[in-house]
Amino acid sequence: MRKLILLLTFCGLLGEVLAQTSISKSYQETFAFEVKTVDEFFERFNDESTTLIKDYIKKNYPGKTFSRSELIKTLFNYTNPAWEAEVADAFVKRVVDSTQYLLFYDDEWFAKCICSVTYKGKPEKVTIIMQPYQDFTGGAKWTIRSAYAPFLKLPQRRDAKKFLNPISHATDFMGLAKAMEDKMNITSYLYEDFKEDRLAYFVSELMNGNVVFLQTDRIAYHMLQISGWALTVEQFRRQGKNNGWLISSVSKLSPEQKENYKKKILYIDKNE
Amino acid sequence: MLSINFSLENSGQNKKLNFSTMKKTLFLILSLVGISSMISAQSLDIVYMSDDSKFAGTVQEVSSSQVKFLPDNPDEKSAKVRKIERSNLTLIMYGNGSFLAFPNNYKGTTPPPENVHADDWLLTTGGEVIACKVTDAEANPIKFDFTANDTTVAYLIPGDKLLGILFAEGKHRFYSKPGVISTLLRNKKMATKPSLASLGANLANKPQNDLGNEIDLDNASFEQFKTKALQKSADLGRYLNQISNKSTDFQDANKAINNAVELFVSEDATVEISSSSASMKSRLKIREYLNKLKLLKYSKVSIEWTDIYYVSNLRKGPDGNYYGVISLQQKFEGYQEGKVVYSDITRKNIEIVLKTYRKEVEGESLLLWDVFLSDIGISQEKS
Repeated sequence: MRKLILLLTFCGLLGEVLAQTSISKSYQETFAFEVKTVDEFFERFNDESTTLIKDYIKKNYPGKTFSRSELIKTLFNYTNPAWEAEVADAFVKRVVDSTQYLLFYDDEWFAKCICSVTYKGKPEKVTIIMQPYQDFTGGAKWTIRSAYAPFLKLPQRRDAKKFLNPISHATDFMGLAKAMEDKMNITSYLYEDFKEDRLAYFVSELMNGNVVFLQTDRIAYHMLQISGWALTVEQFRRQGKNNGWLISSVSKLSPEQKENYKKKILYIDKNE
Repeated sequence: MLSINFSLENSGQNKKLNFSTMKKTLFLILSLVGISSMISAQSLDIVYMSDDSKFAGTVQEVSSSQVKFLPDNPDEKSAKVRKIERSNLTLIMYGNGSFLAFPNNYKGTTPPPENVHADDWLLTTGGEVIACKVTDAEANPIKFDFTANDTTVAYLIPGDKLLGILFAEGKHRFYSKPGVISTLLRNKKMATKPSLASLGANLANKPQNDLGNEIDLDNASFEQFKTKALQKSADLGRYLNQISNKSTDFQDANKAINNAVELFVSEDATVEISSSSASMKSRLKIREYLNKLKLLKYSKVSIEWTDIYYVSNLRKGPDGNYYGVISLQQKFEGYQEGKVVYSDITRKNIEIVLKTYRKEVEGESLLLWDVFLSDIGISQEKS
């Protein structure tokens, strides 16, 4: 009996929550069709059996159903597409035929966030790459994987005339003081294979107050987890059925090309 | 040629879709749901229907639209071949150990050969499949051997970490609904040695209330979670109405602010408002946001929600809480002297935190949960 009362209470409350509104049908339809989050993108991509869009279509367009292939095709951006139809077709065929799915816990996908910051008081943009991480308990979180901004670059100049001479040790490295003052040529004094760590530099600048974070302006998800393919998913905010988080580009990539993609587009270098 | 999107012209079979039963994949163990355990009769094929009923018999053919199935009947004269619509099926467990999880594109008169497995499969609440040799399925924790690089290591896994076991010889045992098993098998991730090592090393000492990576509530529990989360969102709407209404007494408005803040997981919960017409977003802590709202000078406000909403899966965080999101569409109207002077439609993405806690009731330790609102992203769609 207690369960029944609880259930009735819930139903009553739900009815109250979901009262009819004066929001126009077209706005409601846009909302229903919009891919509102990446989670919803995954649900549609994976053709999960119970999703908002399937329920909406069932209620509002009785008799209409979609195959997985058709459903994935609705996830492409059709306004000024940056993808080629033949390539997209081949991609859809590949994932459907080989029953490939996207999961939050996959390794090879990233969020590329273009963020507004101030650097030493001036407005600047920083690109922050986020990656999901799952710990041994199964708990998951987003982590900052890399960061890039033109101002986060150390001076690259290597001047052959700038070095600590091979007898510096004899003077207890007195030359270090001069090297530290020679900031524009500082790289010349570093070991030959030195590679700058942009993320460490970003954190350092954040810690000393030179960088102040303002907001995330734009996000693109780069999904490399499907063997042989790379997807970019971005948000398109507009009215109509083709809106929300949609595939803005798709390309065929070999493992080597993916490593290069990570290096060039996502600023992730496995050798760093 | 890739043809366009939701034309809604291609009619197909009318699949059973019901948003009220959405997220069958959600599952909350122990005190939240009863664990269902089903041990199959073997050598026969078992078909699991969408309504969780099951039948034993022989699957004769899987075609593009139907499955021909001969039910097992002691009185063989009355046995008739049944034709079952694919859309009514969740899972077929074949007597030879193979399986077919729906929806899929498989057609044929034999079980899918690629799904036959020489090892026992443990289906974990973390969504992984551990290919192993189960040495004691009756014990709890269940004992199994895992072999990698010619080295076999014995492990233990508590029963509540499992959704089911598929034995190599064809038997199976489910601890969860067939729909949940079907989803896992369609999206299966085979456990690798490193992840298994960490799992195995920790299993014996893991707290029994660990719920897995994504909560798999059964329908009833997910409805409760959804309703509770929607109710808190609606409560927030009511408080917003009170707070921003000029006719509300100052003290009452402050009380409404306190009540509204209590809906949130902490005072650090933030509201961020973005608009397509402005590049900068405004971001305020919840109390600050509500205090600002109190200064609005509308004689009356009206806040309406659409009856369409999106609720995501819940995902476990490193702190043991579970996180999800609700997307809602809301219409706000501000009146002065009986006329609408401001109106907008916004899309709200509300982060939801599901916190679990233990409570002693009559000497029994129960695992309970409650839902709180967290950060809110507001996108302005129309002004």
